[in-house]
Amino acid sequence: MKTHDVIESYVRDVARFLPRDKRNDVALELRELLHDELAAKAEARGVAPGRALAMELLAGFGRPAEVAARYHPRSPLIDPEDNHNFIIWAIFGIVGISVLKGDAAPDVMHWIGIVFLVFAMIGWARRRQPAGRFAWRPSAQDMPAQGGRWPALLAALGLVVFPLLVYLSPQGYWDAATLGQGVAGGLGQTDAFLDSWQRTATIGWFALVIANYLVVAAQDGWKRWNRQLGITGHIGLGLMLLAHAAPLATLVDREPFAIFVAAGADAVARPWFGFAGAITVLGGLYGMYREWVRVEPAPGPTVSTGATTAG
Amino acid sequence: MAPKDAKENREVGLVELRRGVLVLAVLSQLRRRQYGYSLRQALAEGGMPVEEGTLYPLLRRLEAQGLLASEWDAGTAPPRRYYRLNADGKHALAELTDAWRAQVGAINGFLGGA
Repeated sequence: MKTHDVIESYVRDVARFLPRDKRNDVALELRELLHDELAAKAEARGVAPGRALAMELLAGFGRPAEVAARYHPRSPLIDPEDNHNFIIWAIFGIVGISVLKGDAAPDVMHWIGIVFLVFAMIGWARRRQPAGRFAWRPSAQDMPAQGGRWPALLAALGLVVFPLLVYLSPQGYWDAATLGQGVAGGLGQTDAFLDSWQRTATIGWFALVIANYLVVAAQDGWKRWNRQLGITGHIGLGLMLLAHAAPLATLVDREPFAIFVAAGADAVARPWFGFAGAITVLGGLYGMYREWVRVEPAPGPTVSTGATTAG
Repeated sequence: MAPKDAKENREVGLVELRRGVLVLAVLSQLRRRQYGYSLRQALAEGGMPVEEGTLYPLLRRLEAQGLLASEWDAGTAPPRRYYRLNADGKHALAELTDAWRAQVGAINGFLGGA
């Protein structure tokens, strides 16, 4: 390939990335400028303008797509400032779909496509109306779910009253809730389950989560270790509840055993264990994400400097 | 490793500094008509060498922003596309010149005897 052809190839590749109405005009100018540059470079070195010199010149000029972008900048499909959130949404979706579905490849591709479209539309809308819906607005509190004493106490009591007591004695809970009008003995648990390590471990995780809430209530606030313990407790508890969704077995002889005495009760209960476990694990993962992106608040009480006091 | 990073960072700073004043330098040289290569030479001779891959697209962008007028001169061989300031470009040059002088004054104040 001769020197002229090298420059022609380069000019052609730059012009291809440009809008149709600019291509020939830019190509004509760029071609002449490159020949000028090449002649000057050759003269400075005292050599003839050959192919190698042309390649050196063009390498310094940049890749054709980059040069075209300098001539005609285009908006990115996803704004660079959204890359972080895009990746987080994409990864969370991929993990979630992969956990919920075994053969998830098509759904994963759909998810990535949907996330891509959403972020592209957000970027487009933001460029059209910089002060519109997607403009930044102050938020009242970073972590509304993690309040002080009373929300923590309420959470501890709630956990004791509903899931823990139900888990410890579903029949007793049902009898108390229905004032003895429920199905007699229908929710009794098998001896194998009552003696199982799965039940002991689940109660232990419940106790850990509840104790953590009580500590938060006592000290009237969340410390870092409370948040981390809460995340660990939710993920551990969730995984144990998920384990209840499948036939349980002992560690020694792997023989499956039932949770409930009544025939068919396990088949009804297991999806609910799975649902509760999935929600709890997701809550833990969400807490982990919040902890990851957490920014420590300003120390001490917040003082508003703009307010005036009447009278 | 650290000294190399520090040197690279200094070079990045210099590139950013030049990029910031490049538009002003280009507009100042286009008070008389120039084509791309002659403008690059004029800038280099004035002490501001600019990469060709940066300068030539910049001319088109300034023209698209309505600051430059351009025309092909078929009387030269080869034909050249010449650029020069239009009325808006002259206004922009005046504003940028004032802003530049104010910035130079401020920076000199910051630097003091350094």
